[in-house]
Amino acid sequence: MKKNNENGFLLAEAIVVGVFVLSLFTFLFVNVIPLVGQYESLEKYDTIDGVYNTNIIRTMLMEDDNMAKVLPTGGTYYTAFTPETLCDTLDRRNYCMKLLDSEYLNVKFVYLTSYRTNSFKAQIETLKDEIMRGDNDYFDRASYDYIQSLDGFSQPSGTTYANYHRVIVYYNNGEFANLEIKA
Amino acid sequence: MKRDNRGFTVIELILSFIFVFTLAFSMYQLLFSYRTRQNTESIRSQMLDYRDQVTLAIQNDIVEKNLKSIESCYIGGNVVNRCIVLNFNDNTKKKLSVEDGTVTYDGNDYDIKYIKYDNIIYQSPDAILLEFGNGYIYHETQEADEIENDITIYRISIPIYHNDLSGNYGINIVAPAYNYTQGGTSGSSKPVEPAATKTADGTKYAGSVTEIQNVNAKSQLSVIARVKFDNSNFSSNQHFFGNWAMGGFGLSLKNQKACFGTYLSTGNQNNLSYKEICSDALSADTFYTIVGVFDKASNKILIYVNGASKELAIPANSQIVDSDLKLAIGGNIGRIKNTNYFYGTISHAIVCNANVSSKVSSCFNNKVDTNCYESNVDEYKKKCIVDVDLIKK
Repeated sequence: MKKNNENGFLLAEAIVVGVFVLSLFTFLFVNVIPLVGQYESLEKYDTIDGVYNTNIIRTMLMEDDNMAKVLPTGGTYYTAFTPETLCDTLDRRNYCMKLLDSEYLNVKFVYLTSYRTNSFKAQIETLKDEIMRGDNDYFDRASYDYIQSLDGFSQPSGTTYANYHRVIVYYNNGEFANLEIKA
Repeated sequence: MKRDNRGFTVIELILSFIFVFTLAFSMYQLLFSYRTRQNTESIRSQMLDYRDQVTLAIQNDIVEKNLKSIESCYIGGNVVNRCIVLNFNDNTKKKLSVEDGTVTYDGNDYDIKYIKYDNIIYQSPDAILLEFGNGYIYHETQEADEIENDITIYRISIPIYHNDLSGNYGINIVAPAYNYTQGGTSGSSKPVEPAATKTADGTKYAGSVTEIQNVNAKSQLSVIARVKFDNSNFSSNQHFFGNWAMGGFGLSLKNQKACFGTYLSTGNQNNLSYKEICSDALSADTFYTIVGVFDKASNKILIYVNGASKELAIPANSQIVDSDLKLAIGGNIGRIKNTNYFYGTISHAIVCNANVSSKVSSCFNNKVDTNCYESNVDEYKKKCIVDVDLIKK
């Protein structure tokens, strides 16, 4: 006669259940934590202060012949500036430096791109590895995420592409904002 | 028949209990932290709404009316720095203050503070738990002379803290103020422009603009102006004839040189570029015939000053990008803050859909000959789409 199995739980069963429960928790953790992070990031996108401050920079860029000096040319879909490199380009350097300084607008980077952002986003995507390694001088993970989150933006009716562009400002407090710009 | 005698042993029961208890405890912690977070987020959201509401009211006025200056005011009590007055360019004033009040909550009276702007009270739903920074309203001024002589930067900040939150949820507004000393074209801040005065040798401009008509030219183009610059403003850069604004073309004085600039495109939106060619240095109080040429045939732009030319190569297949603005004499109406007004006299302003450079230049081979210039330009009249005679007859 065959002997009954009286071992109760098998060790193997306990391990299988343990692994299953652990996997469940790991799955939840891995998927929920980034969502929380993403929510916190989104809070810094196009805030009211960020948009109004970007409007001040936009106004400054639309003065004099500034736009012609800062727009991307020749197959490049963006220009990127630190406060220093931007202000060195503009006529009103003193004003620009003071305005972008930490005491006032506290700007980290300024990007200029065409009105529609699809080409810009594609070009930044090609730099993804470099950006994620922290090897890029003008873009980091935060700016990469913001740029990729941008809408593609369609052309306003009755306008020409050539006259419309987009200014994106990355602030030192982690906020981002963008506005269309037309001189 | 085979019997299954498997079942819980005491050890297994204890282990199972510990496992379930741990799981439940973890879930409780998770739910508890989630609930705490939800409460915090709710308060934070209220704080951000409050901040945005006040910021929006102030910023709307700043953007619409343009800030002229900020001054302190006093609303009584021992605390200073709790009231400022914003002066706008349309000569209106609005008061921003942090004031005291009392609210009753659960039968108890509480002293609260609230923001008042333009006589409207902005009170947070969580007013009891708000703390305003000492001094309440800070405003800083970066004096114009330390930056540029016609711009002042103001900063308004009202630090606000919530007892249950960390960080500052206050108002923080930066606003540059443009001091319109010699004209401007933006919104309600636009001052009354002095009229241009016609004289026997041309129309004298000093901080004014005359709009003419829309001109869109994509192929051959000549922009002609006979012009004299005042000595008093000769060191300032000046726009005297054109319609630039991310499109168009124009003649200007830059670093005491005559320049012809135009926005070009090869048809691709991303290839928009501004190209400019400048002459040698000029002198003040002397009439010059200045011709800017966009020569599509040879892929060049050129500037002629009394016949002497300079040129700049441009990309093949370039065309002038259309401007939304009217052609203007005396300044560039595309500028937000027009500090580039023309100070001087202009006798002729002409735009031709042709390259008139050879004819115009021939008049100045040996000397400045106004009659030659005028008669030769006349030959091209049929191709000239703008021809403004600014001499008082």
